[in-house]
Amino acid sequence: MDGSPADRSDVVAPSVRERVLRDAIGAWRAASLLSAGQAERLLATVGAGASPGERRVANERKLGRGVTILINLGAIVLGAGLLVFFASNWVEFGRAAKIASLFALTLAFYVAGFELTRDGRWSFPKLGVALVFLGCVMFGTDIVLLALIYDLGAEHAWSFLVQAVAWLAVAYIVRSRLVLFLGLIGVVAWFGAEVGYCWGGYWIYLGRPFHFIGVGACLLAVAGVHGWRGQRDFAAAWALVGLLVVYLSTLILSIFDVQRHVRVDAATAPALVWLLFAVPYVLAAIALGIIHRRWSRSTLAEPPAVVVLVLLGCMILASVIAVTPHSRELWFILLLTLLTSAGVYLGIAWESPVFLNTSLVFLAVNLYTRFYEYFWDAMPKSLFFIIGGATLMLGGVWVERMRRRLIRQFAATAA
Amino acid sequence: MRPSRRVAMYAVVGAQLLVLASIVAPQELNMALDAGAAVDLDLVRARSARDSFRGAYVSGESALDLDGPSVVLPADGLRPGERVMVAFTAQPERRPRIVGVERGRRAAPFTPTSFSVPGRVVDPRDGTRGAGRDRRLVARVGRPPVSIALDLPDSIAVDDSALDRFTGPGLVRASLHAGFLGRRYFTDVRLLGRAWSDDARFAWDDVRERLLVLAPRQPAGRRPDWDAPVRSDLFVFDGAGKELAASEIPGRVIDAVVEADGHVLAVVSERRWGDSEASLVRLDGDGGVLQRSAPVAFDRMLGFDAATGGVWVARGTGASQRQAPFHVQRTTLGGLREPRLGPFDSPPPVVVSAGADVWVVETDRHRLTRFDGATGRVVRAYRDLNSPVDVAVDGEAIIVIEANRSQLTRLAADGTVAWRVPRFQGLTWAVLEPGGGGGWVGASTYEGTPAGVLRFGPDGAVTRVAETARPVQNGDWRRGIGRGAFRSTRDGRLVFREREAIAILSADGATLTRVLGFRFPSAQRLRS
Repeated sequence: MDGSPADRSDVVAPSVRERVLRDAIGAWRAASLLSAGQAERLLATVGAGASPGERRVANERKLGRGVTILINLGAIVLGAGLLVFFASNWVEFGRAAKIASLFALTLAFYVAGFELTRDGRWSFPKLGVALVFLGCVMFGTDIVLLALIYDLGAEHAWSFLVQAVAWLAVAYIVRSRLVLFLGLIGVVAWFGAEVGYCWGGYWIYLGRPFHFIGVGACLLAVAGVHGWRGQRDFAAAWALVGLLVVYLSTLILSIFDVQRHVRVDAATAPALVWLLFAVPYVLAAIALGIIHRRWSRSTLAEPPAVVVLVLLGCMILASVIAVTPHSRELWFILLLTLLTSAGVYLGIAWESPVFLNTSLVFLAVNLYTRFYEYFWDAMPKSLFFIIGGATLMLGGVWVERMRRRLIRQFAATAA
Repeated sequence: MRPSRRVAMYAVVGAQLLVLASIVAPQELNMALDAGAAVDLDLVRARSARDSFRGAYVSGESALDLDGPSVVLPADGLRPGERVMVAFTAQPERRPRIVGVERGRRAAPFTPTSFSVPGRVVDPRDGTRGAGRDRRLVARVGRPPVSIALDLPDSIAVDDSALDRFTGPGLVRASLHAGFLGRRYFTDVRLLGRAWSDDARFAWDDVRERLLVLAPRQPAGRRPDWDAPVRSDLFVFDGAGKELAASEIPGRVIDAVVEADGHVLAVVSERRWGDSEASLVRLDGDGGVLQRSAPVAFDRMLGFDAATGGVWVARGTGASQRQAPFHVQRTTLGGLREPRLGPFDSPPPVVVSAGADVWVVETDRHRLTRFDGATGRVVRAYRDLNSPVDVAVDGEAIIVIEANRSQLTRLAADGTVAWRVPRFQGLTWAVLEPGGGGGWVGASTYEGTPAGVLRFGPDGAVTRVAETARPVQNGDWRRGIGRGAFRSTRDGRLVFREREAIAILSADGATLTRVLGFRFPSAQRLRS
């Protein structure tokens, strides 16, 4: 997974690649750039490099889109049927049957799923990934159900961390963005639960969501590492989850002064909570440092790099603001505005649809939230909705036009 | 490339199965290799429930006495987060209590009279941090008290079929095992009997020395039929709290009193929820309905008049009978009876019959009025009161609970105040001893410390009798029209309601028994 062209062979289907190569060799022969012998030798090698797995993938694609949809639908229905069967009869099972069925189902989903991927024995990668995804979900479910069966309690949210690590590992092995999203949700859930439990909250504690801002920064930095490695699909997944975490946390903080409502003294946070606050920023800084040193395309003097460094500083500063006992909604309104504006800029500068689209959405949500906050009481309700609806529609049309133009530009540049 | 991915994938899958096995194996070994003795523990007011994933379980209030102020802690104190072992002693007819706390996880084997439970010292700051972790039993030991979260779940898994057996809160017993690896677990879960819900009522049959408990039933089973006809249980005990009989009554009993002939006069609603209308019903000893009145608005019922077999109701003017002025009148199984007492500007909250007189309490008007029960004539109005809520009368002794249940007042017959005793909180009832002018009161605190049951003399001198008792109103949040406590004429024993039990004290204040529920002839197994 070093991002080299050879390693990215999966981006283009083998049959398409073969056809392109044959066409190119034919054109070069017609233009007398190749001799007849050279052309024959080259044609003989075309397709020979394709692995059996790639050929199976190609075969599967020949089945047609309709069959693929049927297979995937079948996988979903099968998984749902099994889950409903076990859910309906769960309480009837004895303890041994419950535990055995948990182990068996998890193993079956994983084995069948992997063997159906392009690295397995059979060639139904989409079906394989769907089953592997079900295996991942089963693993998380297993931990919860075993804890219920044995009346287990946890001092720390280690089970979330274990399952998130397992999901991420599986995501990279089967190269699945679907499983990657699950893993990233697991990481965020673990972080929220760990901070929540240590700080007296409950599970994924949203009482003081500023701790998620650091996690979001860290996820974005990892997205940058993937970008440097040429793994744009995975980079987009990391970036999307990172942006959602940062924007949602800041949005919540800009609406509610949650800390004041729950009356919790920040001094009650144990050392582990402060460590969990700081570590994501440290990891983000390390990731950015690695990118800067190893990626020859990036220089600190470039405006996007400067913006990224300023944003990192702002996010760290936001955490300092957040522990003050005073009202702080205004600070987070400013921070959300700054972050979304910068996100739009970075989306344009880096030609990233993920950054651009997500930031535009939250920029609009921010504006509309402020409109609600400041004008709901001040305006007649009819006028409020007329203005709100009209501006939403007009703003949406304008933003969509601008977004499409930019996306077309990105596509043209990429071509 | 492919083999390495395959190896990596199966290594990750294997690691996940190992994680799952590391959860399962210690628990199974803990149970499979455990050969030690077990100790029976009770859950009172246990309720059954069903979780979609976990299945059926029972949870309730542990019978463990978790307050151990006299327990000696390690000399250098206990720090938050420290692992400790809490030792209990189990004695017949007493709640298991804490006898020691030691650091570490080592414990002596269980014996029939002693056992231990591991725990962790709770950080005092956790109280301000909210409920973060799962619910565990918490013991408070030493002075100043240290909280220890015990490694005991507050619920126990049972078979799904067990749900069919709970028609209300139950008495559940389970065997606690030490576990081979030290993790405590329960086996042999069984249902011993029926416990008392908040809406259960009790009545005292003074002639036959019997305690009667009337408890509304809840639909049982995996899919409770909430539209089924409402039923209640009638449980009968002797004066010592021993089970005599149980029967079923149609309808939901809201309150009841025992008449002189042994029949039960009950206020019964046909609805499962709400007390909008109720009928007056006379029941025989087996719970059979002998007579039933037309429905009456329950919020207009003010108190029983057992001597005439009726209840006092407030009747207003107009078609709805809800406009001032109001009169208080008896309604019996045969209909309304004269005389009419009043008029009153608003329905009085409490009416008490005592001998030939009727006492009407008007809390908002700070007034107590004595009527002649035969003619309805006002004998005397007592006005020097502060929001009275209840009155107890015996001859010339008139005891009033007033001032937001914080003050006990004795009035002389002429209306003057004989004495006032303030500094109570949560005065629940007052019961007079015949002839002497003294009596008993139940309260949550007196002079800032837990009160329980106290005795007051004719001169207003208050002495503590049973500090550990926890008297509550006869019923909790519902409005009861019966008395909160009864005194046996024969031997002076006192019967009153606690939250989870009906307590019976001897005449000298010693606890004779606490009736936690009606025990079935044989225990019913809840887990196979």
